[in-house]
Amino acid sequence: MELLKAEHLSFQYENPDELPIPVLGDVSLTVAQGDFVAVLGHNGSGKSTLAKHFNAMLLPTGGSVWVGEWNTADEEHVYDVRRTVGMVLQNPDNQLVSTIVEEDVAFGPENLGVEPSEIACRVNEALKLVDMLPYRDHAAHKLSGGQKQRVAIAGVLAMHPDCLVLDEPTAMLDPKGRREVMDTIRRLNRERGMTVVLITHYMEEAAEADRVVVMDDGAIIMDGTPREVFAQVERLRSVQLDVPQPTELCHQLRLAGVPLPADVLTVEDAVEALAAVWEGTV
Amino acid sequence: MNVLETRDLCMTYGIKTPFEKTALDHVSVGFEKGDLVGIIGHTGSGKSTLVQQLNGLLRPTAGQVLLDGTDIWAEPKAIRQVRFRVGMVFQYPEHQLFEETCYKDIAFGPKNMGLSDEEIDARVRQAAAYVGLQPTLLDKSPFDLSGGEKRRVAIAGVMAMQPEVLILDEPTAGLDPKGRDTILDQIRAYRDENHSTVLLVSHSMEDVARTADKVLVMDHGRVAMYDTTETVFSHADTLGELGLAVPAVTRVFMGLRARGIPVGENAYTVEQAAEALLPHLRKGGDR
Amino acid sequence: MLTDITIGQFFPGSSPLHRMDPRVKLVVIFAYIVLIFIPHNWWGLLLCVAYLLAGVLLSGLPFRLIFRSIKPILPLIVITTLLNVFYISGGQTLVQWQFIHITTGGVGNAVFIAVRIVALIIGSSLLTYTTSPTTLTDALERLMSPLNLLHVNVHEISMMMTIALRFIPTLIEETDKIMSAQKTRGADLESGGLVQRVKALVPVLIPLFVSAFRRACDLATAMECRCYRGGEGRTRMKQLHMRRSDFVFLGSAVVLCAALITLNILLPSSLI
Repeated sequence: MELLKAEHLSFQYENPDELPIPVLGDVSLTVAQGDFVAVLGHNGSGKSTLAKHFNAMLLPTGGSVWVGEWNTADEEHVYDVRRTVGMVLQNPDNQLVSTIVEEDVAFGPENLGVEPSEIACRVNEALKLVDMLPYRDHAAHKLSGGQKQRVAIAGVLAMHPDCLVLDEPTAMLDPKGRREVMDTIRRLNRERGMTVVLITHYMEEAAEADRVVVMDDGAIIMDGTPREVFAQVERLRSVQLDVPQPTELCHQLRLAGVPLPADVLTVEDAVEALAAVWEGTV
Repeated sequence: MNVLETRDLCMTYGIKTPFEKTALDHVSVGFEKGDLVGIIGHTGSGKSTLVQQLNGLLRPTAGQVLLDGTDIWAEPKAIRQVRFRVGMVFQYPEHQLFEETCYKDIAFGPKNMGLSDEEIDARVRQAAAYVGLQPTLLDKSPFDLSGGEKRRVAIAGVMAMQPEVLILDEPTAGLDPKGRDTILDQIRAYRDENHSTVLLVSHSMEDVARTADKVLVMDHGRVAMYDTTETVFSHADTLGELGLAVPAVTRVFMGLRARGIPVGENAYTVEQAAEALLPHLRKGGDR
Repeated sequence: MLTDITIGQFFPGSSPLHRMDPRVKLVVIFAYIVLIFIPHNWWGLLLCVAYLLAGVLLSGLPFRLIFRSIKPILPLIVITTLLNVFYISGGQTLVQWQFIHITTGGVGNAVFIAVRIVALIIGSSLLTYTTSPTTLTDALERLMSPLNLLHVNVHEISMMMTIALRFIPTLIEETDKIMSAQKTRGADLESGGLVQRVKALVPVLIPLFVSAFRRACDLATAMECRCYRGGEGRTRMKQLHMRRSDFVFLGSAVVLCAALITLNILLPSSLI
């Protein structure tokens, strides 16, 4: 079932006295319930702008965006949309409202007017989902970056969304924090069937998704499984993106005439493929 | 001859409080002129404390930091002079921009050094060139630039002081692949042109593998390894035990070796790996 | 370092004092701060101290922590004590040497006032140590809710306080970082006259303001993403219910007040 749908979406920033600045042009994309989609693109490709359309933080200047039955431009349903599509932002410090972890997680449901006893249940459950329950009465500013970001995810989960949109959630974290956040996102998708839209410019993270959408200059230029997308090494390069190192290695060898498959993605893939060729040569 | 070295450097935070924490534990390392050293280690390993000691932002609780053989704290009042000679670019340096124009911001450091106006002008333009900043951008407000450009202005601000040792803390954090490659290339080019010493603190093994000649690995406030990049990344197991991931290509080579394939020495960049594998794999193609 | 500041710190726990209705706690502690100035004799003061001691015991916090709160105002206590000792005379003379004239009355007064100040500080620390900042602002919001009738937006005020409390440590850390960064560029923040020093702060203050605005902007987006729309229709996870123990506590403050007044009437004043 379709959960998110952008139909010929275009968006431009109004610029007083000058021409408006176009950011998105004719973007059409659907995300089904339970999908894990990574949106990949360099800075300024329009990927964050697209993300902000999915929870009505921005409204299209052309075309439309649908969340389930609701058109995001319909003011009456703006809070339904924001509750259904939970958004996690880049800077973990700037999205926690309260000093204490559990009070911060409660912020969303409180805004929704949920019954107090129910809020307490939701906070418990959400903190458990991100593995932060033991920290419930800790001070938020003393946590590590990865922990803060997990609390931010819990804060969104407590609103009981159907979908998580994460806008470069790991960009400011160290490798450990990045791992924690990625593991949490993946677990939510696999075990809870949570629909995930992950905005990123790290190809290793995009490779963990089921589907990769590549954006450049406000348009979608590629859409497919990670294997399909990363096989097009030259094309990704041309839009200022990288490919994972194992893919890159096999690509270079293939250009030099070694018969390797194009869809190598992980270290294991590369070992497998290279071993097969090597063993064939001796 | 070492430009900068530490002797039994120790640093303990919050002495005699319940929060006492040893950040550096008898660290003795030396950096030679023209070295480009990558400093790695997970968060809390002491690498940030170490670099802040090197330019006198923190004072050691024991041990010494020697700049050209002289203890930097021998004359505590002259610590500002030390900071001119050991430049430091902090994480997210664009957050420290404050002047009306990029030119003025880059000139802030040289001005504090008390240089002549001509000298400042020459240095600002040179530093802007190092980081590939268009001269037309110099008259713009730094707050009107893109994220990547801001970062480069901030780095130029420290380069313009022409320090003998340049320390960069996570200069590529938050940049996209293109921005990251540009900055790393510029850092290398800066070193090649100036023969100054560059220390690059990074979480990214790939960045360090590509850019640095030597790698210093910190763990629990101690030096876990300090050797050429090649040697350090050949100890993939040790790095793994320290909670550090080796580059993915290195893991490919480890995987091949585990399968009994004699791939020879280690590779830590894609180019190296392709070069090492090609002769063997070609044979099959030719046969 | 700036980050060592601990004023207003909260120590989570589940003691009777932690679990008390924050409105009651706020009222009782404010009342206590006023009541501490009622007694004019040692028995009354002793009663006040005993009352405070009971509060400390109920908080379950270590005494070490409680005494740490007095440290910052120690100079103030010492100065007032010395002033009292030297300048107030009455009763028997203890020391008479040149111009120094110390009397039992002066010492008594000094001790009396020192005890008052200490009790006042410990009392207010008990409030912040056992109540999370959000709960505190929450209680204030509810206590001030009658002001809504005067078209004062009490919810917004309390939201601002919550956010301010949340971001103070973050901005202190940020200031530290910017100061270090500018120092490495040769900024001299430590020497020179007043004008020079203020000028030297510009490279710190501008980035700090820019950062504060950026954070405010991000936070506003994050709050909107989490469906924030002001106080209307908002619920609270932590419901405030007056329990029997809360009434007992409120009652105890009334009893204390009555007892202090009675003692003042029955016993002569020990103060001069």
